[in-house]
Amino acid sequence: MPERAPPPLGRRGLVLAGALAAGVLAYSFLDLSLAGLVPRGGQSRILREFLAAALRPALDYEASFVPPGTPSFPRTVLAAVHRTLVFAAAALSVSLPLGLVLGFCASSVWWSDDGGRPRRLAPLAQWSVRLAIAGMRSVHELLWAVVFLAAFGLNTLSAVAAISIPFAGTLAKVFSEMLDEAPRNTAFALRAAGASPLRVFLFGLVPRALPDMAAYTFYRFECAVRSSAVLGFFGYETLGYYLKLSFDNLHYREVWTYLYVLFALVLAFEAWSGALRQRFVA
Amino acid sequence: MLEGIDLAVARGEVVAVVGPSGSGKTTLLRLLNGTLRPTTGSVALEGVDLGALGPRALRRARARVGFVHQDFALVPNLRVSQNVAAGRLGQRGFLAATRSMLWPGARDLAAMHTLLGRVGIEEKLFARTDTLSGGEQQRVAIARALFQEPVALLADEPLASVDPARSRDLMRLFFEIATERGLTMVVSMHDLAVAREFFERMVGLREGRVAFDERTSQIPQARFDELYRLAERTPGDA
Amino acid sequence: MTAAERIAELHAARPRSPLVRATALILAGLALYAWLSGEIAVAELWSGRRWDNLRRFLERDATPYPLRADGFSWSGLWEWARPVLVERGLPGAFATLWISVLAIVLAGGLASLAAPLGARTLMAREPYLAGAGGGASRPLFWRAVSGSTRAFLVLLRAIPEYLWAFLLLAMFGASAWPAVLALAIHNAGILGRLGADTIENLDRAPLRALRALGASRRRLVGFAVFPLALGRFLLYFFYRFETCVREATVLGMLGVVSLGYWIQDARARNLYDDMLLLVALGAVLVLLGDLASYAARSWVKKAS
Repeated sequence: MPERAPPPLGRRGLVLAGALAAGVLAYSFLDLSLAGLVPRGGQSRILREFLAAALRPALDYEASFVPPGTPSFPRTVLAAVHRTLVFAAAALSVSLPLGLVLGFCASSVWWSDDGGRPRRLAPLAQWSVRLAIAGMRSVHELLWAVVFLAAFGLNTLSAVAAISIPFAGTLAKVFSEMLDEAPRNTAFALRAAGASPLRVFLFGLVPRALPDMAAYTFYRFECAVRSSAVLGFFGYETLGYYLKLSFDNLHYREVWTYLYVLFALVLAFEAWSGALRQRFVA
Repeated sequence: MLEGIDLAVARGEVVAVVGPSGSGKTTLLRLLNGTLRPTTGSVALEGVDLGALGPRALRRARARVGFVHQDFALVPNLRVSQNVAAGRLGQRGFLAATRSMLWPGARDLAAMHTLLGRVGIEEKLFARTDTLSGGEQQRVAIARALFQEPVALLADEPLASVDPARSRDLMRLFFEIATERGLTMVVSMHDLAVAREFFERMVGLREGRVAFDERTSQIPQARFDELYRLAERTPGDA
Repeated sequence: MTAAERIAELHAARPRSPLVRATALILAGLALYAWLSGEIAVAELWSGRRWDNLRRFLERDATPYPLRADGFSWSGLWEWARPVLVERGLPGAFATLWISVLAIVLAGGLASLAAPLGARTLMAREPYLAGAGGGASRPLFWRAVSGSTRAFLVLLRAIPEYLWAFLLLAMFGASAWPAVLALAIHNAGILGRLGADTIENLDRAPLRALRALGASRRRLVGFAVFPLALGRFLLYFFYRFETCVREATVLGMLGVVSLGYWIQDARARNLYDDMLLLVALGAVLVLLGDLASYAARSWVKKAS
């Protein structure tokens, strides 16, 4: 048995208590009741039928009539996956360079001389970049999509833009934090060897933060795939589009096929990133 | 932190700087290589006042002084070749510098290989730096400093992370290299015994001031004892 | 052997990471392919029609109605904005806030239960005492427990919040529950995984000492693991809170009454000026959430 009392929780305990209290408050303000958790009537039938279909995902269309010339169900599924991945990849291909540039400018280390004086324009430039990033990040990709839909109509390019803008902002913010928190001893050593500030940054600072930055980018790609799937609810023919269509038509087995495909994609990403993490650390 | 320092090191001379922790040894070294500016007075390298130089000239001056840092300051996930190549980043055009880090040319590789051989780890040329032991990483740091082709070499507590059995070997290596290349060398150290054994001139620092600056043979034991004596006014401190 | 030959020999024997290189190549190739695949209408960038649409949108649809008629004035702007904010914006924003708070608290609770079950250092016959603390030496039962917990957590987060909400809405009807549960479930998956990792990365020495003294697994978790992991866990908790606010905003577009509901409503009624104001309000809400989270995290960090 532990001889001493456990370490006093202090602030952390207070924060925990505060969070719980906030939760209780939220519950009351939302007018929720536990009765709302029990599905009734028509909804409970939907729930039962949906769950029953879980073990029998569709391999073919469930509709009794399928117009001639429609591609086979597996082909539709694959086309949806293809489009989902393509949107995500395209969005990341824009977000990554943009995020890097903005991330550099938003970091404090970029503007400092590694212990020296920051250049005069620095605070203004840095904070305007941080403001821009905050603006980009705080609008959800679905909201960007909705705004672009209103402005441009249904347009695959605006779907890609809708994902890239907030993702670039998030990447920039995370990159700038990683750069600011990276160990600076190598940068100092390069400065001592006479390297210019740019080289000190690129070859002394960025390499220290690079493994984390790469891991986060990979994670962002996985998120982009999910966001791309959800865009399907807004008319773009990604996984979400077909899933919604099948659900509205009560073809629950088809819905489960799409869900399993989504699981498979995410599990593949998990396995891949796990393997990468081992290589980077070992 | 440092006060009243008046120090001159001649070309080719080898000096040890000793003193308790916090006495200012690292600060002194950083002043010598121009990464720290004195608040009063000046630091001159080869007769040129570092304080009067513009940024680009200052960088060129720094490139002439190699520095081996206490914690090595290497990038753990890069290869040894890339860490060593970083030593010349201050001396090349941007494209050449980038190339040397990513795809080093044959001449660079040969030079690095020779240097690593000189410090005893030639086979580690392409190894990942974090797979090396502490002592081996120390040698990579030395190789990086030498890759600069400096006229002077500064080392900040190089024996701190080395076990006592190896300290003398490492010191011997430093001395051989300094002699071969005619380097001026200033080494800060904690270990008095090794310092007295190898160095002919020693500078003692205590609380930011120079306690002594003489030829080793002429420093009585009492001066060393006094250097490391605990300060009287704060009895509770270590 | 000449030096050049030796260098070539070393170069050939150098440690390589084919996986990393392959990953970089695949991702770069995928990005290139994405643009060339024809799925994305790149030509639209030069389509005059689209830019005309945009101009019309900005000048006409997006400009607040009173301003269109009478020209710009601050009072006119306020007269238009006030009812939108008071009747729809602020109630929606508060609803969004409460939904995110409840959801993250539920997620945290669920994750706290799941995290120890997913921690491979705890899920062993003799936690912390046997060998290096796990790995191949763990018996099958314990590996199954931690493995299945982790797989379960992955599945929870595989489904995006929006999708969870869509499914739950059909099965639980229109209340705030689908939104709350959707966010709670998805984030429980994330927090559970992060919590399990945190527990695994805890310093083993004190835990080993306690276990050697005979502490039961339950006591170990309650008295030692929990306080040690709490600080980190709270940091993750507040990080996810920020994301919850963001997501809760858009979940409204499914019909749950959060800010997103009013945004969708404005779009459906072609009130694009209202829509943009509400989107901006949503952004402000997210930024406030970020600030609160940052403040909370700094406070927690100072304590530990």
